[in-house]
Amino acid sequence: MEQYNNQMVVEFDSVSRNEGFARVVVAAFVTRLNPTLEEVADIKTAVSEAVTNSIIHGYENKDGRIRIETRIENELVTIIVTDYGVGIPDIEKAMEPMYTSKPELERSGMGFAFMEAFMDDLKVESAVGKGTVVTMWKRIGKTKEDWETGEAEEETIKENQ
Amino acid sequence: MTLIRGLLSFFYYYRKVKEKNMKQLFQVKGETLIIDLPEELDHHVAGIVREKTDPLFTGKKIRNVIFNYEHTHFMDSSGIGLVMGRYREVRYLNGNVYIVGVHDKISRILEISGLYRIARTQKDTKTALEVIEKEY
Repeated sequence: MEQYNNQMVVEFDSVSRNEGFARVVVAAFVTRLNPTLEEVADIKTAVSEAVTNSIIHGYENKDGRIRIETRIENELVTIIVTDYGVGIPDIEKAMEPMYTSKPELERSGMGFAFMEAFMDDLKVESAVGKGTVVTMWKRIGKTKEDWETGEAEEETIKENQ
Repeated sequence: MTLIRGLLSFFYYYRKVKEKNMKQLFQVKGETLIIDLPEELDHHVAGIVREKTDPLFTGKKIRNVIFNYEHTHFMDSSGIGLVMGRYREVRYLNGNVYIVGVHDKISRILEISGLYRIARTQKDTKTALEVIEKEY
C-alpha cells in the first residue's frame, strides 16, 4: 500500500468565532484520505468540543492561543489540541459525562463524552496553571463491515508484527 | 466624499440585511417560541441565539419552545446545553421543549446526549404547533 504521511499545525486566538475555522481547517486537511461524510462530521464535532473547552475552561474566555496539530499516518489521523491556560485539576472528574464546572454558562457536560464517542481514542494531559493537551485518534476508512468482522483490527495487528 | 458616502450606504445596507437575518431567527406564536436554528450550532452561535431569545422569556409568557433543526447540519455539545437551558425555563410553567426537523447527521448527537428524554420530537414546526394547540 502506498504510504501517505502528512502533518499540519495551526495556531489561533482563543475566541469563539474561531471554533468554526478550527473544525473546518482540520476537516479539509483530512479530505485526502477520502473520509465518509459521517467521519468528517465526527472529526468536526470532536475538534469543536476540544477547542470550545480551551476557550471556556482553559482561558475562561480571556486572551490566549490555541494550537492544533494534525498528523496523518496512512489512514490514522491524530489531532492534538493544546492550550496554555489554567489546566484541569481533576481530569477524571472533568471527563465524567454530564459533569460541568460551569453550569451557569449552560454547558451540557458532554464535551469529553462526545470526543470519546466520535473518535477512536482520546488522551487528556493537563497541568494546573500550565495548560491542557488533548490528543485524539481516528482511523479513516474503517467501514462498518470491518468493524463487525474485526478485519480492520486484525490487519493492523499483522502490520504491526 | 463619494467614497465615504458609498461606505456609509454599504454599512447601512449591511446592517439592514443583518437585522433581517436576526429577526428570522425566532418568532413568537401565542405562548410558544419558535427558534429556527442556524446551519452550524456551536458555542459561538449558541451564545448569539441565547442573547437574542433570552429577553423574550422575561418580557412575554413563554410556555413552549420549538427548536427547528431543519437547517442545521452541524452541532456540538453547546447545542445540547442550549436546549437544556430553555427546558429549565419552561419547566416551571409546565411547558415543553420540542425538537423538530432533525437531520440524520445530528440525530446521533441528540441520541447520545439523552436529550430525547427531556424534549419531545415532532416532524416539523407545523405539527409541533398543532400538538401544542391540542394540549392547551
